[in-house]
Amino acid sequence: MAEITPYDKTHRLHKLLLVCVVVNEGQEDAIAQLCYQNEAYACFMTRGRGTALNTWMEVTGIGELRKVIVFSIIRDDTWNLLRKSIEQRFAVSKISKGIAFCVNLTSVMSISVYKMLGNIRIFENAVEDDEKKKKKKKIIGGKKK
Amino acid sequence: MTEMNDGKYEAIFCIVNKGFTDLVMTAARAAGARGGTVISARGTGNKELEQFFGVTVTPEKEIVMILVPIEIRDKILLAVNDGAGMSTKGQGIAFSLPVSDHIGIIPPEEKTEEKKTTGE
Repeated sequence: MAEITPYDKTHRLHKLLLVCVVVNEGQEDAIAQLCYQNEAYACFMTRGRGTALNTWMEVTGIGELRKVIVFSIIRDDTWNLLRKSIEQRFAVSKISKGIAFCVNLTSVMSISVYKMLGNIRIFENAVEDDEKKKKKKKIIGGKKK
Repeated sequence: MTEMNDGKYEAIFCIVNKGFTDLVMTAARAAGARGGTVISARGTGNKELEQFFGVTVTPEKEIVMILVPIEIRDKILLAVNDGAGMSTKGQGIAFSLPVSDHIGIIPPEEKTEEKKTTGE
C-alpha cells in the first residue's frame, strides 16, 4: 500500500456510498443514530410497507406491514464500522431485524456538496490539531526552533 | 473497503401507478424474488411528451424495491416488464442498481435449513 502523505490526509478523495436500510416502523431513529455516529452528514427517512400478499394478510389478520426506509450517504472508509453496528442492531430482537444495502455513488454536483455529504471537515481539523499539538510541545520543551 | 460482496446482489426499483404493486410482486415472485418494499411517490410527467406519445402520466405512483441475486435479475426484469410494464395498467418502469454490500438477507438454502431445524 502506498505511503500516506500529509496531502492525502487533507485532500484524499473518498468514494461515497448511498446506504439504504429497511426496518420496521419505530426502529428508524436507532438506525439514524448509528449513521450519525459513523460520520454521516444526514439521513432521509420515508415510510413504506412490506409486500406480503393481501390474501395472506387477510388470513393471518395482519393489517399492514409498516416499514421505514432510511437513506444516508457515508464515506467508504466508514462503511465497515457502520455495517458492524447495523448487524448488531439487527441481532437485538425480531422487531429490530431488517435489511440494508449500499450503492456506490459515481458523481456529485459540486465539491462543496461532496465535502458536506462526506463530512470531510473532520480530516482538516485533525491535521490542524496535530499542528497545534506540535507547536504546544515546542513551547513546553522550551526549545523553539 | 474490505469484505464487499461485489456483484452478488442487485436492487431492482420498479415505478408503477398507485395500487398496482401486486402486479409487480406477483411477476417478480414467479421469477424467483422473495419480497420487497413499497414506497409512495409522486410522478411528474412532461406535458409535451405526454401529448406526443399519447400516454398520460398518473401522478400517484408507488416504487417497489426488491433486492435480488444477480443471476435472476434479468429474469425478474423481463417478468416485471410482461406483468406490470408500460402496456399494462400499472405502466411500470423498472431498472436495477449494483449493490456493493448488503446486510440481513438470508440465502434461500440457509432459510430452508433454518425452517427444518426449528420445525416450521
